[in-house]
Amino acid sequence: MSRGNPRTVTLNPLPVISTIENYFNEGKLTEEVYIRRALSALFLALFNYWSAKKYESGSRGKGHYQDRWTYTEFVNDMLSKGLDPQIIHLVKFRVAADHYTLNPTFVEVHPIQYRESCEITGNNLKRAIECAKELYNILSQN
Amino acid sequence: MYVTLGKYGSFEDTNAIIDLGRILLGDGDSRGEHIREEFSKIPPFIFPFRTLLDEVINSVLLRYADRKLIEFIWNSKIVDPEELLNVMIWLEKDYGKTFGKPTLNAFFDPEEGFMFLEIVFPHGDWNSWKNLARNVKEKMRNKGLETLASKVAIVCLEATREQLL
Repeated sequence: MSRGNPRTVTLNPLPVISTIENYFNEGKLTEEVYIRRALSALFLALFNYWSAKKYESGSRGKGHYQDRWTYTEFVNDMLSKGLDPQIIHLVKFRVAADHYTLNPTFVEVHPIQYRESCEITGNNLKRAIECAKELYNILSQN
Repeated sequence: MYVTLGKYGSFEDTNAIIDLGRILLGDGDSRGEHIREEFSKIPPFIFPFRTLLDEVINSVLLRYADRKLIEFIWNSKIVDPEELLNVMIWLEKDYGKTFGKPTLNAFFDPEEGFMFLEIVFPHGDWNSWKNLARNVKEKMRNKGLETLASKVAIVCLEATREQLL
């Protein structure tokens, strides 16, 4: 079991979001390999924080300590709150960054004629930072 | 086949309601006059179709998705197809003129598989998308559709292509 600070304090994503934003503004995140890691980190930092909030509010997930939730549960929770653009942007670029080799690429959707191109660029990282900050603001209020 | 649409009338075959979405939008169909008149009197967000046969639901859903996706929706039991159909007709009726005709999509995560359904509108910028999603989900929650609200994502395709830099 975890000791020390509450999990929501330890897993607060704000320092990660701020660091990525600062690096981006200083022009340090121009190479694709860094942009990929930043996109992935933004999504996962929020996911960890969301699960910590759930655990501390009394919800229980799966696993030995009942402290495991799925990405799908996180995304579905954000969708139920009407945060569709923010979570869609983060989840699609997280998937593209972590699982796909080509850039731009198409993440898997059905039917295929409505697929959306995912291009890992500074432009889309900038939007992801915006989305992460908005999601954090909502999550931290609940 | 004989289908009853509650107080909106009865039909001897499915043809009268296969094009229901088109009728609701007022494209003109002599069989839909009564329905269209009735719909002009009721609030924009309402669920009159609670007695539709599966075949009819599929026929109307074909306006928004292909057969493979409809089959997936039924088999996976992720959402109630009838609730989904009602929402699609409502969204097309109320938001179609501004955001274009919505279509259905399914998003899959490589690690977890199916994640959510997408209701994709062709138009709308980033801020319109945010407002649309917030309003639609609030109305869905108020109508007791919390589960469906968590399983479908509203998407404005145009906004996903906006450039910031």
